[in-house]
Amino acid sequence: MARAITARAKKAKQAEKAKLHNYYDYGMFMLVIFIVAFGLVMIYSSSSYMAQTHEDYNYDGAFFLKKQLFSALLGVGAMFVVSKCDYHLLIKRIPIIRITLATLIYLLATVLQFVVLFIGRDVNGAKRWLQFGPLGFQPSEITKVAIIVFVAYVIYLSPRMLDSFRGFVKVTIFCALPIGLVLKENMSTAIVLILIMCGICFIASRKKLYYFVAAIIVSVLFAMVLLFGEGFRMQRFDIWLNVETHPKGFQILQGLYAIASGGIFGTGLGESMQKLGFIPESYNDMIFAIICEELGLFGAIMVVVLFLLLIGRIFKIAISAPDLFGSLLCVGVLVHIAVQVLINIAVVTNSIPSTGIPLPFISYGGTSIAILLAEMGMVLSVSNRIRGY
Amino acid sequence: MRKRPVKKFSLHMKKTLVAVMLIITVLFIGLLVRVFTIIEKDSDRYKKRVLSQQTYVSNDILYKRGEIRDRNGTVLAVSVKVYDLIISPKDILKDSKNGEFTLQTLVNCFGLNYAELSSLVNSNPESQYKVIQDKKGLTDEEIKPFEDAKTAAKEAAAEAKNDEEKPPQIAGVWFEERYARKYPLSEVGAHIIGFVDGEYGTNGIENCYNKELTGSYGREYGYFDAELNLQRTIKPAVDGNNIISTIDANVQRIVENMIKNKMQSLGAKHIAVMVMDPNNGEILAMASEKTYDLNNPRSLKGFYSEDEINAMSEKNKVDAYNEIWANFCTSYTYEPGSTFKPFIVAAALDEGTTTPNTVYTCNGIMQVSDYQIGCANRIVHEAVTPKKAVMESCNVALMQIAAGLGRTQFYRYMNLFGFGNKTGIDLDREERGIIHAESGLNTVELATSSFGQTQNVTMVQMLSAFSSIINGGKYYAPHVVKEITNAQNATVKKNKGEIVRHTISEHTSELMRDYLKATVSDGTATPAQVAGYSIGGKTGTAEKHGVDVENDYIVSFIGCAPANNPKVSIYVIIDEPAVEDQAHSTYATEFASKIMEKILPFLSVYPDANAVTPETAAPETETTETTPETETLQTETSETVAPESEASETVPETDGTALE
Repeated sequence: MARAITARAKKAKQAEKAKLHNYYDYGMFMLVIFIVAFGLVMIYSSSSYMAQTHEDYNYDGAFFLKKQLFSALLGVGAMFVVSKCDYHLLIKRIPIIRITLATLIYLLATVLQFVVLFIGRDVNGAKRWLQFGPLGFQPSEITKVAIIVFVAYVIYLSPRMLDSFRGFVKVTIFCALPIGLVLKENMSTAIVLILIMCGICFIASRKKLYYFVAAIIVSVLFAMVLLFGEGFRMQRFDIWLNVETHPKGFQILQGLYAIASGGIFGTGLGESMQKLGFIPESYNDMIFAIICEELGLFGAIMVVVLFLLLIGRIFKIAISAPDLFGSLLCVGVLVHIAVQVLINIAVVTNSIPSTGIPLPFISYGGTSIAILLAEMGMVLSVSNRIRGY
Repeated sequence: MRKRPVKKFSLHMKKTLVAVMLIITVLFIGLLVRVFTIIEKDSDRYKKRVLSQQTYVSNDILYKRGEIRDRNGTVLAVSVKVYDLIISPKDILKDSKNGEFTLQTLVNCFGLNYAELSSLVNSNPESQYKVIQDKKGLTDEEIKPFEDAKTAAKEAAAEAKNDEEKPPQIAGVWFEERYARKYPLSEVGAHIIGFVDGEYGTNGIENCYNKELTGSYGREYGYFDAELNLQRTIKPAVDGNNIISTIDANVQRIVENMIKNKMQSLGAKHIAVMVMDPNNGEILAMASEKTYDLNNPRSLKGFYSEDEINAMSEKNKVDAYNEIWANFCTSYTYEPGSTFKPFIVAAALDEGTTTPNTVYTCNGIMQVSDYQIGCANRIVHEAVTPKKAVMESCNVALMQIAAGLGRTQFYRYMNLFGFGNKTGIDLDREERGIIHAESGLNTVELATSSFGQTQNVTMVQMLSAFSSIINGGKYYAPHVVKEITNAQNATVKKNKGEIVRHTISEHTSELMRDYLKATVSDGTATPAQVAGYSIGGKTGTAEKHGVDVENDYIVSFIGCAPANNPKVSIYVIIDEPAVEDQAHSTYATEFASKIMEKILPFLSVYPDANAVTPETAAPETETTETTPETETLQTETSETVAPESEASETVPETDGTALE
């Protein structure tokens, strides 16, 4: 009897403690919503003219906006639900099949990535889409989550493993299959995946030297391919160096025109000229150019500051997460966003050879925004476990 | 249970993460610097390129403003494609042989003066764009001879064997397309239709429905695709929506003509007529003695003499325009007089402060506070029921009825009937009139208001409120547009008549119909009778008040037909008839009778009663059911007989009285 009472009292005390100390990063939540809303405005601004003039889009100016809004709402819902679940569910063994959710996601992503090679929808000569009735999505986006979760999980199981180069190779081998499958159809996404993986490992490892050695070796190999390789990739390198004269430099050059004509304060929201067909699919990877044209350098700084704030938030959560797994999840998401923003802006400003990476939360793309929001949910879930914050 | 220590994000990991964060921040800043250098270094050069590729291929495509049609489909306003003649002296002077040929062709095809034309060309040798002012708004037929000459010259050139034989060509001439607004009926319904100034409608439907009528420009532009091929894209122009008015152009024209004739035969300061469908608030005609040519709205001829116009300053002209363009029926406010009485009687009956059997005593005069107010000409009506009060237009009884109603209810009914407020008619510049505030309705104001003095109203307010009295108490928003269709004539919006509020009960309305019918058959409004029709209505003779007003009156008639089942309500006012003794409502009443006689057949209202005898109205319903066929036939016959009638409009000229 007495024991029951003390047990109950203890439970109540615990609940109270949990209530008091459980933290939820509403600031980050609102920040994400803000960036998504800004993205929707820019998508409408950059796509409406195209949509109005083309039969494919029913001459409906809000065609892209509507589709993106649908995905964004779906994503925000997912973000909220995920953020309210305990992220430790990812490393609990599922009763019957006796594997963890993290492993399951990894397997699922690999299978989808495999399947898409055969039944994927062909867009611009690459099979990247899986179609389920009216809904289509890109499995490569799911692979990004899978890599984050799975690498974090593997390191969490034995953190000391990464202290030797062999451990890193082990992790690489684990991830090689899905990344290899992505690489076949979509090199730019594969680069992002590799960078996410390396990023997490680099931060978790105690020995840094061999990463630098590896990076140098990879760079040299890459340069060799570019210099002596033939065809498509070689050409990109060529365009990058001679953007104003190369006939295929059109898209990048038009993006540069856009940035240049925006000036410091831009031509005004909705006033872009370059979106009138000069930049093909300006609402997509090149949306940063339109932001620069309409909102100027000022708009560009604003976008960068927004992303820095977001990354800063994730950084803070990673530092104060209750355990290693939570921290590594946040690190993965942080690297993911940072890498995509950096590559995207670098491409638009012709700082690196062109490659198709969307600007997170802002570029048009349903799968991308929904998955990113779900990742944000994961980070928020970690923040929810922080005590005594 | 085996307890494992919680694995933590260790210190060295945190340090690394901080380092990574720093690297990321530095890279971000680096990219912003890169953006800045692009703006700084290449701004001017790139901006120029953007502009050059824009102007390279990019054209506006014109849209067509929607049409305005009357309820029967007669076109009231339409946009027609026209051409302005443009020449480029620079191109004409480039080759003397071609230039000479071009000038000659221009002179031959457009009847231009050769000397003037060549001096225009020679005095502007660098110009590439000169509009020939006399040759604006050319039609397709007018430019055809020139276009033919141009093609002929081209074909001849194509057949020529060498340059020596090549005949001269047209150079430096082209036509600029635009749409011009035309009003086929010019003056008819000018105040309702309005006109277009540039791209924006002024006055009337053109103004109120400008948004609907306006389409959007299309755009043709070109751009280079990734393979550097020039791609042309056309965003088509969207034509404006069409407006279907409630106006019946025939009726409007008849009414306008009759007003014109009346102005000549009788003369007055103003004469105005409104015709409405009481069962949905549709305005069928709305006219005053003032009207203007929509195709030439800024011509003051006909209103002022040549000298007067020349003497006018810009401001005077604007004032003159505003006066000419103002819609009398919505913007002129005045004291209505006895036509206001039905509202008071209806209100009192509805509130139960009087009953059909209540008897008031009329001694021809009544003491109200410090004033003695009486009936017209001090006529003594003796025992007066509300019905008789309406029939005989007894002021004394009305004053008692209004007093019985009391200020609170009186004021409430004024609001219910819409006085002192805009009716919300879909026309611009509507006035709201002036009524007494509730606190200002003391005995004297109540008394004078009861017979329509001391309060100001507009014609639209009067007829809309009157329609609610006779239609069972439904106050419909008066409107001039019944339907909006898109360029393909599919309905976009319909206005079937919106009941704004209920004014009185069906029962009271029935009583009022009876009273108004008796007023025309046996009361003061007998001149309003129309052979074969049962008419209900009320006359009015209002004394005008003002600074320099003396013995001036507004005489009026407000009524409906058929009396028991009104399909048309009509309101006629004559402001200051040009006669010695103005105070006779007969001027308006007779005029109303004549108008109704002419327009009712056009509005498919057919005789329902045997002349003036309302007693025989018992089998009325039967009669209405059997007559239409024969009547239609008669109407048609009369139309075919009338030789002058314009083929398309089916308006019998002046005396083509349909039913005789």
